[in-house]
Amino acid sequence: MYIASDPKTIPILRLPFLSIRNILQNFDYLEIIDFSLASKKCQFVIQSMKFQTFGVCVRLQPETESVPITFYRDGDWICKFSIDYLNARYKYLKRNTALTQYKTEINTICIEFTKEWADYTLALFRKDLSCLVLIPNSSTQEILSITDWINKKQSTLEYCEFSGDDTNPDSLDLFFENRKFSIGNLSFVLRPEHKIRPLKLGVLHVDEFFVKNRSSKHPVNWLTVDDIMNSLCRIIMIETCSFDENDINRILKGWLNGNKSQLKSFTVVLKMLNFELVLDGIDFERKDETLKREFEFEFAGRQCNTHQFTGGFDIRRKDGTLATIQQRYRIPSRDPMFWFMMVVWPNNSK
Amino acid sequence: MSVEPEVPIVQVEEVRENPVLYKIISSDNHVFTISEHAVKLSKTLWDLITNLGLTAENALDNPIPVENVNGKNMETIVQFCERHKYDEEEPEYTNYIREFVLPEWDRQLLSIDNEELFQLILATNYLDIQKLMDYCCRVIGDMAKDKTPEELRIIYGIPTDAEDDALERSASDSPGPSG
Repeated sequence: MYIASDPKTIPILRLPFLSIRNILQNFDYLEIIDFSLASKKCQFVIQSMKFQTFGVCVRLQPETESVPITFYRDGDWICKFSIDYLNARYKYLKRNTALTQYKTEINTICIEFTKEWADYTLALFRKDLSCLVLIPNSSTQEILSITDWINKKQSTLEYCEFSGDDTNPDSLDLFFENRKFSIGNLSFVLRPEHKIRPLKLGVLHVDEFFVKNRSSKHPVNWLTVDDIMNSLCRIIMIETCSFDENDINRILKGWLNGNKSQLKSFTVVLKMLNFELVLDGIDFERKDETLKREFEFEFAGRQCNTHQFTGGFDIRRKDGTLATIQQRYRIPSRDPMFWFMMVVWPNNSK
Repeated sequence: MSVEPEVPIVQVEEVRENPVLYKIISSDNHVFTISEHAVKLSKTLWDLITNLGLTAENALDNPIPVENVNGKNMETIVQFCERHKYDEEEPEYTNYIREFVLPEWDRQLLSIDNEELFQLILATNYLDIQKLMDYCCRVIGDMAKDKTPEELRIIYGIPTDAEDDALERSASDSPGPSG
């Protein structure tokens, strides 16, 4: 039996593996990272352990984000890695001196610095990056660096978000042109202060597409009807958009003619529409207000709320698939704007 | 089996409820009595008792030698098992990070120096006492609170990469079993 020589230390790496694992199960994630930084052997021990499922989110938002890396589970964060934490431990990464120029200063963050830490953390827990948050006004050079990084790293990304005030359309075009990875949920959280030209998103081959935009002064006008009609999204949600009756009419007709067979819901905030124009040339059935039907909306693969339809207009494809459209519920904004909803019922017999 | 005790029997706790008692002899020949409910917390000891066919009638006449555990650790272990012998079975932990609270009595019991704690874990591992293992590991895990990687290396006796490399080199340079 081994006898510990120094009474001040307890050499846990000499214990049986099950005991080491049990000790490490008492650590929080920050302590696990610290332990892994003590030596390569410690890294190996962590890499050989199984952990409960969690996602890793990286925020590449220089100068605005003080917590560039978070772990999350079931939609809630479980561990945050602040810049201060990462900065204090940067020396343990033992990176080449060429990268030291990317070290951060207080309250700022550098993309290369975060990428280094993300690489370390993901390798330690043997995970793919699941969530990436970017600013929409990154330089083209930064965007190339980020897309190249993900392209080399993995083939899919569960969640990708562009969040910020200013937008650089050239960079966004480049992101979608250069990326080789698929995206599960693509979100834009924009607070535009000026008009944005239409983006070249290519075919929107993402499962869920969300645009948050509460500015009625600058409604979403960088998306075209063709973007929506050509997309392969299952769920689309766009706030405060400039589509008019003719645009919605085209989208509905496209769906009725067989486009977007995977669509489950299309919701968009618009000015109050004239439904005579929206339904022009479309066979529909106006449902009585006494008819109540519940629809389950999803976000990031999980049910997020149940909406009760009261009445509505039913439209049906040739294959029998039934959808209901309706425009109700004003959103808080300067100008009167309302949710337009198109939901495709899962049961064709409805 | 008839090992005569060379030192006085250590009565760790008076046992009133359970008439079935067993004797255990540590590696340094200390003899302990332990109740049936308590000894069941050790999978190793209970398997041994079952395999030896010990019963209420012959248990005290057949002390069980445990050569891997000294008297000091055995005393702690017997105290722990007697304390927790009627505990309800723990629910399985579903989260990676353990959520149980270490009772104060147990924290006091495990307030021993690191070398003793190290030996106690090895003994607990050998005797397969899950709850005591969890508690010991909690005490050791708590030592990591608010420590830097350098401090963790000292507390947990972690060799540096250079030391590990040197150890590996010397191991590969030394002649093998065939000489």
